[in-house]
Amino acid sequence: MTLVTGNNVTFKQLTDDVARPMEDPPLGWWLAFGLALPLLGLLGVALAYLLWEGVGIWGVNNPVGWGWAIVNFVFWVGIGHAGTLISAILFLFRQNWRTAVNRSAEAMTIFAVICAGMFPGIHTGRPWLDYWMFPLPNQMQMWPNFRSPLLWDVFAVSTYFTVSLLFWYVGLVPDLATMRDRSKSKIGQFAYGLFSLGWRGSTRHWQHYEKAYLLLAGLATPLVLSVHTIVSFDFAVSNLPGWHTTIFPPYFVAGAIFSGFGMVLTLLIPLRKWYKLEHIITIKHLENMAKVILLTGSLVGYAYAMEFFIAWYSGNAYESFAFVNRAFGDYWWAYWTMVSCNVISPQLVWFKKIRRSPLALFILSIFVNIGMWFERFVITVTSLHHDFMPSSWGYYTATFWDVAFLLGSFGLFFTLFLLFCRFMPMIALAEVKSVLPIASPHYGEEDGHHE
Amino acid sequence: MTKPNDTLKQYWRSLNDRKSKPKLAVLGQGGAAQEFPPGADELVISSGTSRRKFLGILGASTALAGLEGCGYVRKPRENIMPFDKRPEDLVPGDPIMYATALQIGGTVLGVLVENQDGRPTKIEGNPNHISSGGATDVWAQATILDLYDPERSRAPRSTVSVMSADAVEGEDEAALKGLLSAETCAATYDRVLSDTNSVDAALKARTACEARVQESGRYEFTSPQSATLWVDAEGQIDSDWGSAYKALDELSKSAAKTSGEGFGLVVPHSMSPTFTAKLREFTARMPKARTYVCDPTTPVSSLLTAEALAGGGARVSYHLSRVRRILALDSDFLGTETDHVRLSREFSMTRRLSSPDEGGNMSRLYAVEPTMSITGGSADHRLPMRGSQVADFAALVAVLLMNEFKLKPSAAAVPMVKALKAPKMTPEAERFAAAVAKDLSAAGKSRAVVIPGERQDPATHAIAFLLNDLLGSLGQSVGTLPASLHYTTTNYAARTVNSLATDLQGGTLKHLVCLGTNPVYEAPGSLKMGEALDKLETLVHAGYRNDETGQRANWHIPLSHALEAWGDLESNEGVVSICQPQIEPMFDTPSALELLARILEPGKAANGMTLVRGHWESMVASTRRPLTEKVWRRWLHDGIATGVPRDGRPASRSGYGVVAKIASVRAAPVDKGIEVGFNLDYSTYGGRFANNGWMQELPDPTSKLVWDNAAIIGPQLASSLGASDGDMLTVKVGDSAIMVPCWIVPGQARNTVSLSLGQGRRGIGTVADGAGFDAYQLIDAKSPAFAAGEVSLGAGSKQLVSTQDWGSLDPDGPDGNAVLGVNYKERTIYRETDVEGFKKDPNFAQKGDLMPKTRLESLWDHPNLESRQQWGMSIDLNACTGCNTCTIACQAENNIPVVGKEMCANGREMHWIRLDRYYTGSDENNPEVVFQPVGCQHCEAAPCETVCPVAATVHSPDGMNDMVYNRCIGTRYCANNCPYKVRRFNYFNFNLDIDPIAQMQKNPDVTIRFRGVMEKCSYCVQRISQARIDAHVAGTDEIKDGAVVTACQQACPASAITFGDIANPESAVSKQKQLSRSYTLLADLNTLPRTSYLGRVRNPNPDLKDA
Repeated sequence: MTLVTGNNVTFKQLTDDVARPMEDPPLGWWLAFGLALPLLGLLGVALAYLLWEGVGIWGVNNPVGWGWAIVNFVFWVGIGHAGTLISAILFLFRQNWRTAVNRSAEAMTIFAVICAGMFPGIHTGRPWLDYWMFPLPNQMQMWPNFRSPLLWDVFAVSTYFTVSLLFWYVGLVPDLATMRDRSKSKIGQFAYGLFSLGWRGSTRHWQHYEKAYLLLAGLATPLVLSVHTIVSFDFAVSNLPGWHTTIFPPYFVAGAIFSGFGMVLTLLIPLRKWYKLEHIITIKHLENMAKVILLTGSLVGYAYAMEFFIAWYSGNAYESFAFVNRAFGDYWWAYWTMVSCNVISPQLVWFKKIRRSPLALFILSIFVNIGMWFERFVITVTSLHHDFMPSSWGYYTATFWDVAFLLGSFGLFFTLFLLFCRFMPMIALAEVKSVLPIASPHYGEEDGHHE
Repeated sequence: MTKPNDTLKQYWRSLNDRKSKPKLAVLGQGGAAQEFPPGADELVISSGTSRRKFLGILGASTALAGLEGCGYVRKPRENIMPFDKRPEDLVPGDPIMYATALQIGGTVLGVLVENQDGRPTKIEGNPNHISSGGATDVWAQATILDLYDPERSRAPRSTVSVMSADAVEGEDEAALKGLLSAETCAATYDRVLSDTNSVDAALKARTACEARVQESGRYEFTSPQSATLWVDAEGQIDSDWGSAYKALDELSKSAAKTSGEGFGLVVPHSMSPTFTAKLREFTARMPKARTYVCDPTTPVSSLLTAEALAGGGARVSYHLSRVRRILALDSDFLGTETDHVRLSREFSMTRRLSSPDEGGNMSRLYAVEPTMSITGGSADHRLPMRGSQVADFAALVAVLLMNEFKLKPSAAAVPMVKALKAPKMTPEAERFAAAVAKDLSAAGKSRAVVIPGERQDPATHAIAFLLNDLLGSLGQSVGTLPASLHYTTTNYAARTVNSLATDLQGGTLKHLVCLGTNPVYEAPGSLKMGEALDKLETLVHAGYRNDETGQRANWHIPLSHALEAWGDLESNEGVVSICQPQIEPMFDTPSALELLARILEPGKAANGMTLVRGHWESMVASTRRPLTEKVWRRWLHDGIATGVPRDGRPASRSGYGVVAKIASVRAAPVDKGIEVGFNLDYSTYGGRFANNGWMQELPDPTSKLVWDNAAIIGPQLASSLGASDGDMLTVKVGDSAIMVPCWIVPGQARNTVSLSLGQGRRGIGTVADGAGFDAYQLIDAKSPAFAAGEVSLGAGSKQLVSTQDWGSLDPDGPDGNAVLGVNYKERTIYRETDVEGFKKDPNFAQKGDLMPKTRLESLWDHPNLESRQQWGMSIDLNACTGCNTCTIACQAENNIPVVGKEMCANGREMHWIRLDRYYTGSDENNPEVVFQPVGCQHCEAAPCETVCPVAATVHSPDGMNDMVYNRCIGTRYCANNCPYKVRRFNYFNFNLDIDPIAQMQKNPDVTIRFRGVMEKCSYCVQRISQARIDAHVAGTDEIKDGAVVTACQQACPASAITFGDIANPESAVSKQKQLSRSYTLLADLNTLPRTSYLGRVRNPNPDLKDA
């Protein structure tokens, strides 16, 4: 299998291909950055207003105590999963095709977790006291409540972020050294030099590096499963009909991978075109990722069906009501948006023409993103708005500021991601080089192969 | 520095500077600024330092010397003011209760007011007073907030500008006049400039002012050097007490000269004996003066018929303790009618069931009414009926009782019988009447009572007298008090606002004083009272607020709040209470009584206590027990005046002839078309509480609307109009029409529109502004309660906010609407049965759980409940009437903020205990309605506790779910996980910027919550702590049963709430919980709530059951 297409790609050519757009960003980058920055500014304004006034600026109310902030949190955490899956699990399974996409997918993970981590922090009534959620020793011997899934979240997400960051950084070291060597500016030389930790590419370096990378991959692998499992506990451990279901952990993990791959496609399809990397991130890569989307999308669809089945099979009136209400209640539109985006649209991937068309996959990935955001909305809001006591039922409507935070979080995400594309090699050079035809010990043995 | 030379010219900034007379003349020549009283001049030592100054310097030096020794001492920079003399028995932080009484409409409630360091903070019922029996109602609870309304009127206002000045040496009269004129107009200029910010307008106003001074300015010389200028102002302006009193005194003096010719007094329906005595004195002194009663809460129909029957001053009162059958003829006796608190208590006593055997003793309530009231909700059978047809219905029942069931009226009542004709009614009504008549007649002598509502005209009341007479209840369960010594009434019919309007139109009235009344707002719209009052020469308004009448008046004089004034009240039952002020009037205001006394004796500042005590001294002078200091103190202490002489004669029933005459002049019922009815608003009570945030935010018992009233229509009328909730309707009565949004309430009689009175007030304060619609405008004075009208769908709609838009429990019955075998809409939250069902299955209440108990398991260990006493609550749904008193009592006790209509629209209301309202029954035009108070259930296995990441909500060893505000970071996870949805979140800093005056209401024992924290019912933990401390001081660790009374429990007029130690099987609450009717909410969730409910048992009439 050739993972890098194009004839006669040499090591230098590959480095040049990847580094050139960093040194001279294409127009697409500028356009995207020009769009992301104002959105980041909007986030800044929204944050300031939120801290000044209180969470009442959102549409949250009684009974819907969690709104878009939590929806966004779960959405972004989910996005993060694809990166870790690609970089850690596919690494352990020796899926060499991951090399072309793992760097940017991991970066996406980190930025998505940053976006995600912001929301639980600001959605509290008194965000300046968030540190009380950490088990900090104090003179009152006040500890957090270890029974609370929110606390587990704090540990799960922070561990995940730390390990992902380390994993990403360790993988970056050889490439940072390449950038150090290529850099013509003093600042670049200094910064890349600092972060490449004196990498010289000696065999001993490589030996340590690969061991560390393998270990971190092993460490990150369970986190792929644990983070979203624990995020799902926020819901599953409560007693709310529609939340309190045992299917949530696997269903959330599948959904997370689904949405994460969706986002990877959303990011890479335009980038590979603007950066002229079609020969490195090939159609084959896109096709593989589309297949993962098909698999996880079908898993999610199965979970949706199973939820309904269990709601009926349990004979629990509250549970049955929650699901009938989901599909046919006030928020039916959200539910059917979710189903059509998450279950129906991925089925198109069965067609080879579609899964090999970057444009079709890009559109599909947008649907996946929308669908998965709505999935979290449906779970959070429809379960809350009508629960046990009909007297307290209500309706949740998002305000301008809810929207501002969602758009703002995209602003933050894209700004970070675009800065990453600007200053870091978005392809894992060292790894791709290892899968270049030229790197094969048998390179040139077959007649006429490279002519 | 040189002393100013006396011979130099003196300059002064304004007239105030120049005035030689100081403002505070009471302190003598030197005024407040001077320390020593006249004659005790400061000793000035010739060297230049006075004795005091020397001592001052000496003290300062010593203090400085001390500072040197101890380094920095950081003292608080605020000035704190210790009690100079500590009041006797005052322990700082320990509240003191003082007895007093409040008048709510025609009801007198004996109350105890909690005082915290001199400021009243909470009102409780006086357990010794029969009318309250320790309970209160929403309005009594809310009165405390009215006291601290920052928008109450503080200083007199007037359309006359008053300016005084003294001449300096050498100035002649003309110069002084010129000066006064210039100063007056300069003040006008300043005022207009600051109001409009326009120099042009200010200049114009000054020119106009100069013209007015020229034309109508009146100079008054008190001495050649001192003059006052009276001139019309450019509108109503702030004035001062001296001028206001002077103007009033002049008016009173001139009225006295002509024996009151052209002088009128508009008074509220006062139940104060002293006030009525003063009114009698007024009538005696000024025989030609007229007095009018303007008060929409006056029980006019009851008064008229009772006095017709038993003589002037007679009152009718109902007693339900022994009664087994009640027929409410459009009477909301549990909600808004006279004596509602006592009647709620007595009614609930007849509904208590500890075992199925007692079902036969339970009372049965029939209600006939046009709009769903809480009495209708409590009724076993309710018939929606046009209000104007209720008299017919009553007559029908009376005829049936006599003809079918052979009940004989007493001899005196025979003339009544002759006045009665059997009316023709709908088959439904006739069937209902037949069943009611049969049931009433079977109840036994004096065991059935008919209660007519105040909205009904006197004819219905007259027929009700006959009904009660037939049932043998008159003189038993229906008492007519004999003419009291303390009240006398003179011809209510001739003193109504209608006659006021006639006299105004006729021009016979020149000067009118509205003493605590507001005819512009409260009079029927057809009287056009505002325009009529403008014809007066002088309109003086005295009121707690500068209300609609005050704003039109020539003089507005602020009045004291009832809690600031001395007074007395005699309840319908004949209990006299002395009202003592709980706080010195905050703005130096007189009470209505004091002002009335001043009208009688112009120029003399009356003292409320002297007046009240004087009155009672003269009242008891004839008895053997004079009013000694000891007796007086006992009266004040108890809140009840004992040993007051009364007329001991039993009430005569000699007036049946007159009553019969009343009954014969019935208004024709509105049989066809639309009937428009008016009723007192459950929140604002006719308008009195319109600027009260608690009341505006209190959901209406049935519609659950907040911050608004609406045209209440039934589903049938809504569908024929094509209207949905909030659509604007044009409601027309006679020539007047108003646009008002509609709200659809099941149970409304067909083709009727009900409008509540007391909303839509404008210009009296920011709370009332924008809230609701004024229905008084629509009233035709000829038929004030019910009128034929028209209704049509208008353009547009208005957002109405209901705190409970949703709410049907199991709408299709337990078996209906099942999808694939699961009835997914089933909610077994409210459990009820009837007497028969209770007999068949005494454990009916425990059988509704959807999950078998064996399947219930907990994920977590239960909290360690090691304390010896364990708190719990039981709420009797059979007793609860849905009156909302618990909600307001809780709000007052626990410093719960008011959040406003917008926040309520988004479900952010903060009430810790709410009244859930559900409808049952298949006919949406005549459903049954149930009420269920829900506060925090204090689950032993609380879902909220396990999910809080910071352990801000935890379990106390005595079994309460505690909320630690300091620890809360506001994740709202607890609220999401609470199945009862009782947790309330501070989405904004609702408690920021509370006016300093409003702050005085806050309970110091309860934390004021800040932004971003969760709050909820705490079982009044502060009261438990207080009881624990008290027990500890008394030397025991055990709190006695009954020592802890929660705020909701204390206020509940139906005594539906029981609270106490559930670890003690002998406690009252344990006994309630042991009853077979006891169940917990959503027991399927295994939350093990500490609050349990007693299932409701209805007592239907078998004859009507299959309807």
